[in-house]
Amino acid sequence: MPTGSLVHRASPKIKIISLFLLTFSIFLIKDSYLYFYFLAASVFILKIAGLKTSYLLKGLKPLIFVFVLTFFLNIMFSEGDKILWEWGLVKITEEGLIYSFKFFMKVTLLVIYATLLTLTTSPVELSDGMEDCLKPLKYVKFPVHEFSLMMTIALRFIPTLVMEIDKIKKAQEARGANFSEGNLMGRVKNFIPILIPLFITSFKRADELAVAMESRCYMGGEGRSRYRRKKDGFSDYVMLIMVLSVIFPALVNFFNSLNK
Amino acid sequence: MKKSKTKMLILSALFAALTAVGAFIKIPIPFVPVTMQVMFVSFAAILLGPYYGALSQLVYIFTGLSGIPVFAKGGGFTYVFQPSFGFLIGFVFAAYAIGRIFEILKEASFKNIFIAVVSGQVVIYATGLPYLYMMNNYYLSQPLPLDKIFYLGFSLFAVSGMLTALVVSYISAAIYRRTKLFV
Repeated sequence: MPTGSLVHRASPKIKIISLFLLTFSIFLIKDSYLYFYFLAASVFILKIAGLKTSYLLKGLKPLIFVFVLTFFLNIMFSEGDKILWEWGLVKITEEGLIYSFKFFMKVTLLVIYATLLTLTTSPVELSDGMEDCLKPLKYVKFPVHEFSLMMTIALRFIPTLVMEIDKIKKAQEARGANFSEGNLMGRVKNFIPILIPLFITSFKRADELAVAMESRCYMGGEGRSRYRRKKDGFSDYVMLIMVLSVIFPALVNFFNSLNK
Repeated sequence: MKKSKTKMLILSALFAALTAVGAFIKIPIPFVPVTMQVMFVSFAAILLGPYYGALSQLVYIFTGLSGIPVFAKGGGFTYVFQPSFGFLIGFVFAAYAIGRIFEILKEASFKNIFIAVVSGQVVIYATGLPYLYMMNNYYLSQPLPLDKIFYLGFSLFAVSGMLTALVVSYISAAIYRRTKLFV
């Protein structure tokens, strides 16, 4: 969702690193009140990014059911000394209640922050950011540039391939193929007339793309410059300060609990 | 056709995309639906060789981790905490193993591909199960005893894994003959 806000403008590298730091510090939290602090911070970032809360909820929707279910299962079946309510196998304890709440908040926060990253960064920017983050791996001869190029190409191809499979399936059905009936061997065999055209068109497409790239003098990552270049700017520093101020209490909390 | 480095890169990217799509295609066999993912993993390995095959799977994993929903249950960095994430890591090593074994065996007969794919499955389970064990015990703190995981893993492997391997090698052998000219 591009809104051109400060969060959108920050470099993807910074954002990926921030997500990493935030994820880590969520795991370090010991006291429950800090979960609400992290939740408030995520809403704050969302508002700065100029996004509606409904976008975030849309990202949470497919997972929230699983989380709520685990929450209740955890409440009912976790061990503890202080029993608040008991009925047959079901036993609700104070420790269980606290544990389930913490676990629920943890996973929800993780998903919220991951969703924030994808809401404010385009896939192409993400793979650029990934390239920046993986750069140190160059010293162990890992093909970092090629890797991010492949990520971009793979992203480009996913919708095309889905459409292609649909088209081939319909074409074969029009010729009388039946994909939902038949014995075991027959069903397996049915997949061959889908996969052969799929592979052949994919290989042809790869060949065309390779020719197109090489005729424009693509020779791999060595000494290649970027079309879109992002310099570290004002928005990056603001992002960094913001994230550090979110993480700081969690770190303090963690070290305090170590000292006790 | 000529095999340039650029083309190999693009082909690996394509197989990463195919693996992503494969998570959502199932062959409707009763009781044990076979997803096409293992199919594309082995095919990437057989056609592209161990190095590019493994690279294509690595691209797939990182695409998912960077937040694009290409895994069976979505995507995002937090997928690392899914107990089943180990099986995805297994794809990388499996692709390498399958490619390597196929390189040694050379001929694309049903038997040879079956041997390669079964060893690939062994690699996937060997990476996936310890991960499942660690995640359940240290992160979710819902302890599963080791023998139970071993038992579960072995029965899964014996039924679903072997069936997948059979189907995959049957289809691969049929397709390899018809498509290798185009690579």
